[in-house]
Amino acid sequence: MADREEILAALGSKGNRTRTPVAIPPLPQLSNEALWSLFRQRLEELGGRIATLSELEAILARPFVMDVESALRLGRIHDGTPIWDAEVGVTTADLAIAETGSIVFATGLGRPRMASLTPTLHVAIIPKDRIVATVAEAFARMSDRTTVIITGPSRTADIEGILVRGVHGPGDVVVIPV
Amino acid sequence: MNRQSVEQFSRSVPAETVKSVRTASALKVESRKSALKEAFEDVDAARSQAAHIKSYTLDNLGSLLVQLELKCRLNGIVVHWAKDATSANKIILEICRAAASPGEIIVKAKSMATEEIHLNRHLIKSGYEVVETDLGEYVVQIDNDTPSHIVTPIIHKNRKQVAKSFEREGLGPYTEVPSELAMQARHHLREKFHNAKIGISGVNFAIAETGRIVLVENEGNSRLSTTAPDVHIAVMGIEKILPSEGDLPLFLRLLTGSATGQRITTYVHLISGPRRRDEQDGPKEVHLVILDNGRSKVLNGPYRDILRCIRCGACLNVCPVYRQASGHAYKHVYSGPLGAVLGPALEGVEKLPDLAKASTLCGACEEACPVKIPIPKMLLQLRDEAVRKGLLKDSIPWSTFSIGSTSGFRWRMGLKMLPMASLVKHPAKAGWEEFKDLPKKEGRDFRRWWHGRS
Repeated sequence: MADREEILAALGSKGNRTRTPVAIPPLPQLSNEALWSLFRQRLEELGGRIATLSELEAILARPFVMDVESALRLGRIHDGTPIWDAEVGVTTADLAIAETGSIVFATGLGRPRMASLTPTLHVAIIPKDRIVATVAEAFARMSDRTTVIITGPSRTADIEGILVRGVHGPGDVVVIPV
Repeated sequence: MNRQSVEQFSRSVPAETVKSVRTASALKVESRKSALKEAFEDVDAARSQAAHIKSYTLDNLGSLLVQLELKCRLNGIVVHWAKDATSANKIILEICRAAASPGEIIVKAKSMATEEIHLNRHLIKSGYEVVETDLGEYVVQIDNDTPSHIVTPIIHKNRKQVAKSFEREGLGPYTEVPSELAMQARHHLREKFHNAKIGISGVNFAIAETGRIVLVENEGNSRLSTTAPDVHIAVMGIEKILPSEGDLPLFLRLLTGSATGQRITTYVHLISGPRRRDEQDGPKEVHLVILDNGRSKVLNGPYRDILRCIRCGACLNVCPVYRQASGHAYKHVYSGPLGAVLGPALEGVEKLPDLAKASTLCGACEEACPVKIPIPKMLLQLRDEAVRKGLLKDSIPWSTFSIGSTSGFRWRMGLKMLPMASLVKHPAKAGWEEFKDLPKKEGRDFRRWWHGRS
């Protein structure tokens, strides 16, 4: 702990400046339908897509993992595929953010962290009423558990600035509003 | 290091590298501008706001760090303090030894703080297999190279060079297609993630109010490194702290927009500690190493404002010197205008005296900076400090100018003699004339014309 005391002594306690609060721009007043339309536009710009539940049967022919909320909704259970072998991960999101086309997941019971990460295809189911307009609004409603905000497929531009999808995380992201 | 070594280095940079760096950095400048314009009604006000929050943070750094420590502990994160690189490396090695035997795999997500303390070298020496997992950082590692940009580490390489390295390492058949190269890396690194015992990352932001570690990335390697292994070690410089989570929307947008021109990165990972009892995956231990390594000294000195830096790389992309010389010229882990200040500020101007001259003082860096750091002002201060300490000398043309401009007589004599300058061969002119021609005298001189015009 010697390092701790040394660092804190060097920093001193000059703390007296006050801070002005961050001005949050007024939220755009959009209808639920308009928010989903903006969400779709943003997601598609990044190479993700919107689908319906009816497409899921065909997708689930491949080895998959699923979180509990999705399993209950779909009436299916995880087929026993180890997480590293799954080609598809199905999870239910806590929030969608319209301005960025993002989906938000907190960890918890029956919510594996890796399901949205190791498979090549990530399917995110999300009830339509869970959409917010902005990232700031999402932060105001966010869980205090470990959380990830996911925006489109995994990507890199490390080689000559050329965009490549699916480098480590899923290369395909499909969002199903229900 | 002798003076002007940045200039000398820039002459040895292959044309191919200059082209890679110039093209990539110019693209980034355009995408930054349009991203920020879309994000903020008043970009300048947003930057001022961010600068204000960062200044507040620096003013209250001690108490905010203590708050962070407390909140992290409540979240189950083990907090360590390291006054310097030696201490940090020792702490990290102890954590590793408790969690894995030598020979086992440690996966790493891109982190400038761990570059700064040369952590990899240290862990490899102790017998661990340390694997960089960011695509660019992986290429840097297998080529025994160093990153030349804080955001895009292989901005100095082209696809052919990457292709040759991957073929040499046996990642797959030779290909120059970026998507195929990326998939070869994905396949190769998957095994490493699967078998790694420990994951090490940096920290983009640490939130004092909630004790959360925030990591932003696009590839997914950072999430894998901090999720798959049983132990996660995060290393942060003391200045990476933000007071509250309410500050994040502004900073995420500024950082991402300035770094890559995106609205938000693919992943924003808010880590609230190790896996809890109801969870089936995630690390069982999370450690946070708070690193000083010269920063508290900088905080109390003339270069304090450089600690506002959020490592977006925008100042590198706009800098004419960076574009010509590339990152390796700075001979420090932090390159570009940021590095030209932070390097000497952290390590002392004695070690890196020529970096203060690695600038044209054009002001593009300050204009691009999302937290409005007055970089040109600080570069001038560094030059002054270096000259006062006898580490830098004014060049002959400049000292001639400063002598010549001290009296009217000398000035007039100088003006009469100046047209002859282009005819004289003198070593003092060589550096200047390498990239520019002195004009040949043409026509009458202005003063004589002015006096005789009526």
